[in-house]
Amino acid sequence: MHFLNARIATRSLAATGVAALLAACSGGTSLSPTTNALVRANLLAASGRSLPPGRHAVGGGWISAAAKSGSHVIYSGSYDDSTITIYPSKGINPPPIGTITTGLTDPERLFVDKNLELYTTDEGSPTSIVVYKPGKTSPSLTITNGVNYPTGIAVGADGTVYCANTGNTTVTEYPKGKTAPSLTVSLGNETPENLAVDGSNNLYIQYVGGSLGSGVIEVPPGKTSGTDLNLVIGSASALSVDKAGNIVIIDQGDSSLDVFPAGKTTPSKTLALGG
Amino acid sequence: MSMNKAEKQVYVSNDIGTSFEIQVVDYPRLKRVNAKINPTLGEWPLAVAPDNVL
Repeated sequence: MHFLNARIATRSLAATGVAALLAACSGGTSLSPTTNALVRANLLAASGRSLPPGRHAVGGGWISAAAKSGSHVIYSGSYDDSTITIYPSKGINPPPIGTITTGLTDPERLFVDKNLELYTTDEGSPTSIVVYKPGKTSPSLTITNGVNYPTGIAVGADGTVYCANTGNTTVTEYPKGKTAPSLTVSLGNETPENLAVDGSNNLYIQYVGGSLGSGVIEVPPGKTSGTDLNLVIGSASALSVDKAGNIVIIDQGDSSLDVFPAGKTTPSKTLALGG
Repeated sequence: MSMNKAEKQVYVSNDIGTSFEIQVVDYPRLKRVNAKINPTLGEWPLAVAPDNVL
């Protein structure tokens, strides 16, 4: 919980800085981050001076021809600026090739499924899951039912959507295209933060809190409870699972990336990330 | 963090003090390649998602 509080406090400070900057630029009139993003996108579109050929404003964002297919792109979410920025996956420090603002208030985590649809959790009001088809800047689906201050999100190979809800320490599951949860995993004292799903639809929940402070719980498909994997890790954060069942996880305690072989509680490989 | 479909790269959004950067790590060798993207101060890249994540 301390981790969450620290994160929220940092966000609040950052948001204050953005608001102050906006106030200075607009003669004392403070705009919300969402309003600012929309105004900026519309001004850019109106002037045409800052948008390279092929870019055009769409629903409060813009997208280039290179980003239309949704292929070979990287999405980066900005909680404070209410945007998702799209970058090409090639090159170092490439300029953006699009932004998404419509449907966003406080975007949290992102996920791209096998159909290249983009999913984001949003902690705005109401808290939600927002889905975008590739190349689109307006949502194709918004889910609020069962969503409670969400963070991690993952989509299984069958299209099932999994959402980590910090507000009530649950993970809700939604069949593909549905807006009501079909299953809810309740964690109790652990707060779910990040999610991953393997090829057999086993769900991996990275949590904070509980008796271990942080860790990973594996939940078989269709079940509402799982088993703590008792991974030896300082402060678990983002995670992924490869086809061999190795769990790749960020340890915020020492800024490292650790690989845990299936069934093992200690990492076989570690990489210091810095930062 | 996101792993690409080929499971050859892991993308990591990393807090480097004044801002965040998106790093790329060769997988499974765990060799850090480069800072891929260094967003403007004030951004909050909470996650990255390359195509074909699954």
